[in-house]
Amino acid sequence: MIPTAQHRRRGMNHAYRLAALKIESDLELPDLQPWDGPANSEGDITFRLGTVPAQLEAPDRVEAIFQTRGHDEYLLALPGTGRILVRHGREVTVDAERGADPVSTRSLLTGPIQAVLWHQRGLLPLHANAVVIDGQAVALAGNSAAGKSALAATLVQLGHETLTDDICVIDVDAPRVTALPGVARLRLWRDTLDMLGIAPDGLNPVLSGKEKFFVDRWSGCSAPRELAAVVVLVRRTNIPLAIGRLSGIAAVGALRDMIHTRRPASALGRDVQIFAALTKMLASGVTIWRLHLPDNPACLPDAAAKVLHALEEPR
Amino acid sequence: MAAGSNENSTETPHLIADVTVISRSPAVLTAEVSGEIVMMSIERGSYFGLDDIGSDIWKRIEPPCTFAALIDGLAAAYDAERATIAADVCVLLDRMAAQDVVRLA
Repeated sequence: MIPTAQHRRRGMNHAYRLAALKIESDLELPDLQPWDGPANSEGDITFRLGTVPAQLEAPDRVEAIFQTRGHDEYLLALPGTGRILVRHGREVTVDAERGADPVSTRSLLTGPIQAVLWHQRGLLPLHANAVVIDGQAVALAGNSAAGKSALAATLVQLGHETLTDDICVIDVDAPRVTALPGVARLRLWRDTLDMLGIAPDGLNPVLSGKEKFFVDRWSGCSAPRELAAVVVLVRRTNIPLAIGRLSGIAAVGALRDMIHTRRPASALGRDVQIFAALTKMLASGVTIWRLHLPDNPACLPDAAAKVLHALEEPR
Repeated sequence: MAAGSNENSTETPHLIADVTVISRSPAVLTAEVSGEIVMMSIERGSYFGLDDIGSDIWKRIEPPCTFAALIDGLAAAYDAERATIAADVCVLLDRMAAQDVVRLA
């Protein structure tokens, strides 16, 4: 891409959309959707290349790989990758080590750094995909490799739109609890593609040499949706497929475990707001479920059917 | 009653007397979720929930009241011997005080 005069002046070559926000970036971030709004609009978030100090000045919290000061400053220092400073939910400065894998840097920016930005902006990022079912968002939450994207893709194949992949941002301050749109593309393993009948030809691998691919054949929903339910996925070998509803402290605890970058959020002083947000979700009628998912792609259609059936229950 | 299985529950621990004033601790944040009280320790960030009887006690100690008044209220509401309720609640309050959910004075 050839930078325009304006971009050169600002030093920003790329613009992307994340929910309703415009990200201006020195780095190319193919994970994100290109900005499709007015070209001259001010960026909400900037990703710049620059120098990042090894330490924050007078940090409040120092952990193994990150430091924080107050609510608004977060410094991630990863040997082999570099240092990333996030300030005020708006400014990200990337100081990559020489020889660092740009793919790793990008996945940090679109993963944990994105989540820290949402925490600083007062929103709640869950480690979850989301799909739209009957006009409402259903979050599919889980740790890495829990099968979030695979189950989302199975539901999308059944005609439901995808709302976001991997990070689902919840806004509890809206009139109703809503989930914001994120990236439409899904990251799927080869065995899931096979089960869904999608040929991997021409798909870009998530990491070189891995049998995991970006799949962006679905357009996705680009507007916020009222959140109806969160399904927490637990994937294990040799467990029977089962879904059950959680309530009370079990529901709050399960949701809390699904908060993206929870320790940094806690260090940024978000504990009280997060507790209020989680309990407000439940009080607002968002239902919480735990899905035991056997470690076998052949179970995905049955799992999708179980989720759809459970959601038909009266709230 | 949820907390009556402890073998020692028939003995009232010396810590709590009839005149002991029971109050909510300011060290926890609480919310009610489908009738159940869920809490967060502000200092430790840990979450925990109260069962039905714990939630009921929580609702009855605002404003703070004496142990005797609390037990009188529970005895009127539950179909159980006053002494049994007192013993059970004593154990439960001990545990809640240990987690700084309630304060005893």
